[in-house]
Amino acid sequence: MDHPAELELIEWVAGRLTPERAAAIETHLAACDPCRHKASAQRHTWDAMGDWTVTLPAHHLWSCVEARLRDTSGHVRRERTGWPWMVVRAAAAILLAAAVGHVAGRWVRSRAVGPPSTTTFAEALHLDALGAESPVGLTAAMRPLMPGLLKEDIR
Amino acid sequence: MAAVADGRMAALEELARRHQDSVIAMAYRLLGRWDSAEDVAQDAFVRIYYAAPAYQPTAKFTTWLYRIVVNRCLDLKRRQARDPVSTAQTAIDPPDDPATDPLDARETVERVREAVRRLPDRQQIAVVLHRYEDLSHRAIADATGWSESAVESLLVRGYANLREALSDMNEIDPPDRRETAG
Repeated sequence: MDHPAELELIEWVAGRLTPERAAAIETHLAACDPCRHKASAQRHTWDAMGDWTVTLPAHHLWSCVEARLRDTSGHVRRERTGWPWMVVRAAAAILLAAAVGHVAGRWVRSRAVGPPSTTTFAEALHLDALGAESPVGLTAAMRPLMPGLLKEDIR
Repeated sequence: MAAVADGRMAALEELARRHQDSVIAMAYRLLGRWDSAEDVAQDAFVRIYYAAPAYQPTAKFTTWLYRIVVNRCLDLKRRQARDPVSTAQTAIDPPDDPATDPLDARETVERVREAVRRLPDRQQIAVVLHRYEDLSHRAIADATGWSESAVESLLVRGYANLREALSDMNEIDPPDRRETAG
């Protein structure tokens, strides 16, 4: 057998080769000093690395994560996604558009009426409460509405 | 993840509790600082929370998680390289457990930790994911975004550097031992 690749020796030491391949490597190592030397060095390195275990002290990762979520957004995300929520959003947008259109339509209609009739104008000025044949009463009624215009007349 | 995407904090809490030890240990081995490792772990789960709605279950969750952690660690390493003065502090380690950490083992750990720390970043990441997280070459490639052949090359060079750095610790039979003994 050819010398195994270095990566294969690493995986053999790690115990991650198929049993057949591992057996072939072991057969080769038994007969090849340079490869056995490499494998031995890798074994020692691998085992020494295994001594580096990280003992985790008690920590409060979750409480820190939760606090950061609240700090970064002021509130926890409640955003909804996925097709059901897209349908809901689309429906809400349509309803909103319809409502805006309805209000805008009413406003436009209210602005689109023709010139006021004499009767309507008189009603708006509450002239119906005055006698049409009473110019004094009419002037008195209009004075607060058109003070500059009536000043000369009053004189 | 679907529950996290739906905004359920309890689901994220469950994910954090399940993976926190692995994430913190990995980040600690890559960064060499306990406080930075905790920070990376917290950041990873915050990012997961916000990215959950866009998560596509095309890969294992742990692959995605490792990718976030690796990228965050690389960011911190680059920042440390750019601004070594402001980031240089004494290493903050987790408290030792003297009952399971005798002096000779502690020396070995110190040697290993220093040797791993001295590896180039990409070799370090490949070796840590391979040795301590038991990831395959393909899984390391997925977690890092590197090609599988690049990962294999990094592993070969990384372990070679470690063997050299730790060679004086190794009581290795010389290659011609059998010949001289026989």
